[in-house]
Amino acid sequence: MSTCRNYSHAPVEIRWHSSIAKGAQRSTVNCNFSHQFRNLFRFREYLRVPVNTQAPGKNFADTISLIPHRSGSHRSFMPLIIMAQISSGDIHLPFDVIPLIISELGSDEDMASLRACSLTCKAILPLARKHIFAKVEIDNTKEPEDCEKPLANRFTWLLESDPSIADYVRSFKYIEVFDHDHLRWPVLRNATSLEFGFGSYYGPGLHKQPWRDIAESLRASFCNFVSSNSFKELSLSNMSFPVSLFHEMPHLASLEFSNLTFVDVADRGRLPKAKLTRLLFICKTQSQVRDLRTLLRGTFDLSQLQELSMELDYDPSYEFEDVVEGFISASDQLRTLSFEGES
Amino acid sequence: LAPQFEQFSGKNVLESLKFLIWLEFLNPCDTDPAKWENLDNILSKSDGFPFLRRVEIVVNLRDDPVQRELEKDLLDIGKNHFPSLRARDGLTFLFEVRDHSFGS
Repeated sequence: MSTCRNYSHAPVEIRWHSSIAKGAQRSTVNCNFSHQFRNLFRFREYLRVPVNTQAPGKNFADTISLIPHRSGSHRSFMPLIIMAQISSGDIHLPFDVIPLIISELGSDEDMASLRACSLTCKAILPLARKHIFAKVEIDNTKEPEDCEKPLANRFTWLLESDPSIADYVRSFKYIEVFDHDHLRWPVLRNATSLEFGFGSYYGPGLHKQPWRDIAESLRASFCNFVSSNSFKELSLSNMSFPVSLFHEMPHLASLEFSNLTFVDVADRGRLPKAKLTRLLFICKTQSQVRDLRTLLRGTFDLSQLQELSMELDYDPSYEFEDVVEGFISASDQLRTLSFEGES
Repeated sequence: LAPQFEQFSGKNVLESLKFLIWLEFLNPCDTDPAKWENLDNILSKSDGFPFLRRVEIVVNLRDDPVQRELEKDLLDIGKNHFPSLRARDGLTFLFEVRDHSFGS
């Protein structure tokens, strides 16, 4: 093991296992380096890692484990330094290690580092974008009321300028202001998680956006959006929503909703039913509870339900126990049950 | 909900159960210990809920003098009327009374 202490910042530790270097039990190199850019090129002086050594028949990425320390501002620069060294040709780090580094940053949602990595070379750009654009959240209730360029429009323009970005989006959240329709729904193809709802700048209250009051063009583009993707997770809030659209999501496994009314509840006969494993909902009015029974009967297959969370307000017009019984008897796979309500 | 869970008993794989109860304004909470003990008996049967590992009951008190008077009774229920769940090996039982009155 060798440790370099010329630079007084927190260390980055690179470990690799004995299978890489013949005869060595385990080699560890600790490199302390400054986060300042001027030290970038000194880094290679202290990196005593035979990075092009590879165990016979083994992928380098399988044997190396890169363990950056969790504290200190150096962390954001660590991949950048390695990337820069690679792109300058100074270090011949096998390319299959790079996705591991990027993936580590992605799992930490370290956007600053991911953006920095995306600027190092064209080969790394898609790896970084996969994480940068994995989750897109647009909440217009948090934008200034008089915003000239709403976030939704900027995102649409971004996709128009580079349509390949759409392929990276896995999770899309869109919260619109009541009675507004800023968004032209983006053309996404690989999204598996959708959160859609309405709110106001001052909190949603109990107001709901009626489906019929949403502009026809927006409704049509939303329907197209739903059928173009294979959603597994769906969250809806503060609106009325046509039940027929659930049949466009046969792979749906997780459904969350609050302050929702279901419309267009006509019996769809033998249309495919999504097998839910997770159902979480908040119902504040009696009419919504009635809708739940409709849902139970015709829209979903609840026999695989594993997690159920329900929040119901007290209402003398229905028996809370009946609602609970209706749900817990639907599945024998339930593992987690949560009830919230007034006594 | 005790009858509903009695029906559910023996044919489930339930691992975690949580009740979050808000007391309604001016509506007296049922602090009859026998009813709570009944829930304790049903849930604590190892052949009824063999996979149960966690039971959590949270009672939220609002800013209401009537409800605040119930706090002592509720704490007593949590402490003394779930003996079987508290004694069951491998199961975490939590009973909490939260006071949401102003200034608390």
